[in-house]
Amino acid sequence: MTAPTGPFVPGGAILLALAILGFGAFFWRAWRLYRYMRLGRDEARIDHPWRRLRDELVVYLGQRKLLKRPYYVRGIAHAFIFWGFLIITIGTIDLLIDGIVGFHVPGIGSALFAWTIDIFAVLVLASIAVAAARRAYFPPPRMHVARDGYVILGLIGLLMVTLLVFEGAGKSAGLLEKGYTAPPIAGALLGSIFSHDAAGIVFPVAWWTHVVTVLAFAAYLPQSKHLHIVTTLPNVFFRKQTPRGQLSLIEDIENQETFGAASLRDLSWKQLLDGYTCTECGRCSDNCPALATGKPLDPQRIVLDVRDQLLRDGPKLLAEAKGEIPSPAHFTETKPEELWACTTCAACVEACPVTIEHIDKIVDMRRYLALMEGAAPPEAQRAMTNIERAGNPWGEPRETRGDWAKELGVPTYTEKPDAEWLYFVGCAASVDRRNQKVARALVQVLRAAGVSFAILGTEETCNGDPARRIGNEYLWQVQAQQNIETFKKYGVRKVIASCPHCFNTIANEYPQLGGSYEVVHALQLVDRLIAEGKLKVGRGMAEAVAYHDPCYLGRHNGVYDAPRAVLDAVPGVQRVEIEPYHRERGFCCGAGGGRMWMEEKVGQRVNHRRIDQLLATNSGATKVASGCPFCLIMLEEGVGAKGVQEQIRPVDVLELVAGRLES
Amino acid sequence: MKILIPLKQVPDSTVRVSVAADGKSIKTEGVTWSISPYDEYAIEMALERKDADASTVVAVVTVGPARSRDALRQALAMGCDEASLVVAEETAAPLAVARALAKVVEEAKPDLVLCGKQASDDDQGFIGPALAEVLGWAHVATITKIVPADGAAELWREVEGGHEVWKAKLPALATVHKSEKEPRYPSLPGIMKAKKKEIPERAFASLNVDSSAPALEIVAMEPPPARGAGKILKDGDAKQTAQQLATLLRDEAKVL
Repeated sequence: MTAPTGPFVPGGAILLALAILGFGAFFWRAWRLYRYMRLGRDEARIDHPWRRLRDELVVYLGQRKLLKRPYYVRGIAHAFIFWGFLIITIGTIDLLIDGIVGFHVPGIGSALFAWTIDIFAVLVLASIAVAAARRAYFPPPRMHVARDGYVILGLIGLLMVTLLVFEGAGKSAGLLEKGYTAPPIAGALLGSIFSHDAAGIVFPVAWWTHVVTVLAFAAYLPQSKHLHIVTTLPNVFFRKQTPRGQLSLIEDIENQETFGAASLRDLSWKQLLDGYTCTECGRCSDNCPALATGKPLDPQRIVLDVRDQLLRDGPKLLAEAKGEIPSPAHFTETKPEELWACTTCAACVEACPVTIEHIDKIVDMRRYLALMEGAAPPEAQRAMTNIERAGNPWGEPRETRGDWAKELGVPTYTEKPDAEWLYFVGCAASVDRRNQKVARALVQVLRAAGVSFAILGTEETCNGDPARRIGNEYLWQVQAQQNIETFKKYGVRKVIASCPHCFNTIANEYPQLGGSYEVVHALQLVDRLIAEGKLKVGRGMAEAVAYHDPCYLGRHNGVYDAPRAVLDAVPGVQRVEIEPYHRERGFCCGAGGGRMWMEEKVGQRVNHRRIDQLLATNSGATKVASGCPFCLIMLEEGVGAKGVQEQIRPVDVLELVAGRLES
Repeated sequence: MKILIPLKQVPDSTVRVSVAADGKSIKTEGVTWSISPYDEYAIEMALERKDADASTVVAVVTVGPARSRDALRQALAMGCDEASLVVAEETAAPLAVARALAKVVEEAKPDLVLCGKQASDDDQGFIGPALAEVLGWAHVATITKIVPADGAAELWREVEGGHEVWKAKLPALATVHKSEKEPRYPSLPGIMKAKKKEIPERAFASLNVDSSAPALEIVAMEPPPARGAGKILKDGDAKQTAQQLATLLRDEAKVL
């Protein structure tokens, strides 16, 4: 046997030296990266350990987030390379242990393993070909085609080729150990190519090339985006386990001195780990509505700019960390206009295969601008001032908040203290004329189903969502506490919201301030009422209705099916999808994240793009239904600006239901 | 440079005011109060000077009821350095208020006094010019920009199609029409600092001002009549619609 088997042959000693070099280089660099990462602030991420383990199985091992439309081909290619890596690593470990110590990993000589390793070696080679071709000939629009990618593909390719060659040659030269299953595929393909004598030379050359490549790979890995193969493991484990729609709470806000993130040190270690994990695949950018419509925001750049700065300034910062006054390490690349362009729609978070959390970083950076500098765009400041003074971002008189309900005789909690449900109307449905119609529709529906409910009237105030997403955590806390106090006063336990933003913040964020309720979006409740037979919807006009997924219902809260079920339950309505931008790929209307109150002067308006997508389906839909007041406003504006309001009318799903109620 | 801004707390512009039972005043319960918008512009203008020259001191003062303290806190949160309150009945005669402010100005010795051009509650526009008169200072009305110029200040006014630039020797008083930027949103550390800041307070009477002044008496207040429904011109082409509109504007609305 030409391959070393133990420490006492010269080959074994050389192997040991190479392994020390290769892994030494890996760990030396990894330790640096770890220390840079620890420059970030502390953050506990160990809640829900079982869910974290499950995520490792599903997201890391199972490659779940890679295998998503429209990325199936590349997703499968990646999965093969990844699974192949895992399987072949077992063989590599055996190779090294046997070479250095003279001991085999149990089961390594089995037919099962021999077959598995060979099948994967071939699959990996095929996948490498797909990946290389894609880089060279069909690069996805926002992928960074850098040399690094080819180096990695080359190294993996070389590993597979040398593996198959040394296996084949080993078989042909009779150099394989006894008790080993002969490599089935490598043996069949390559075993006969080499004569016995040639194989005796080819085997050691291929074997050593393989081993040196493995170790070179280890040394190269932490210099490369390919490090994600390691960092994804902790990045998935430490991913946020709180609801996606929940931003972090600034505790004891009145006694803090600094807020948000202006510097590398202001991000948490996990947010810095995100940077090490980014594979530069560009899926986040691919799906970003801001980038798609020509805004300066590119979610991938937010992550990579932080990473690049950390790698560049890390050594200096580590040296200074020992000194008295650490330097601030202000972000050098990310510009406010990038941050303000974000609608917090979570398309990036949804698309990221390695669970990077873009929104949390963006909002942390916004928090610095809004809270420390008072530097939100003027229109956003106006909205916040309006929330402070009038309790709604429109600045409509506080006293008029309940006026829409007066002619309907909707009771307030004072009038009906024993109501089962609170209908939290929200600002839009309270003061925006178009959305008042939706509130009235919901009242009709609830009455038809005999639901006991009341509203808060003028005692209701903005839930605070726009302020929080603009970065004004303080105003959000003030608003939330005010509502929580009012809920407490009336003993509210169950809340209906017709606005996904109210729904999200009350359901997912009020518990951070001690307000826990059973919260449903109106369409979830309507779905339930129809299923329970409490609500009868009669036949109306036959019409095709496209469904537009609101981000804070869909991606942020996973409510995709209830609104569709409601549409499907309405006789005459034929639901159509805005392919391919629907469900988890639904395209934002442009109003989330406080964008509703900011000017949109750069590029195409997001809502106009949405209307383009809608029209491009040629589905014959005469209505586009949503479940969000902001979406409704944006869609209305969009069809108006495009001049297609005669062709397709924006509605809320509730309006379709209310229009067909059986009395 | 020291800039002093007398400000007034008024019902916020988002408040739908209603007439109180006496028929002569507005209901004040549940009303959100804020700094009068033109006074906010004056504050922003002063703070922009402070941004440009950190040695600038910006002080605010108000003559009004105790609740006006919140308006002063808001000004401090925006970045003003000092605030003081003169507690007075809401019905103090405007000229007496100007005299009280003059006492404050004489003590504080600012280089420049900036007033909003008018308060948004009564829209009198009286205090600025009256204060300049009591002080015997130069007064420039409705400015949009200040440029300091060695013991003097260039005061810019927007006029039809351009600007007028006035030069005033300091001290001087100007009333503000608008600042270059929108009034700033306070930072959170600013809000917190403002909460802790001392706001000295004294009674109107302690200033011993001559209160013999023509007092305004409000005889009656009533809300404007409800607006009638609008008209939508639907029939006919653009030309006919334009004709209809012109006719209506001339004969019905009588604005042409």
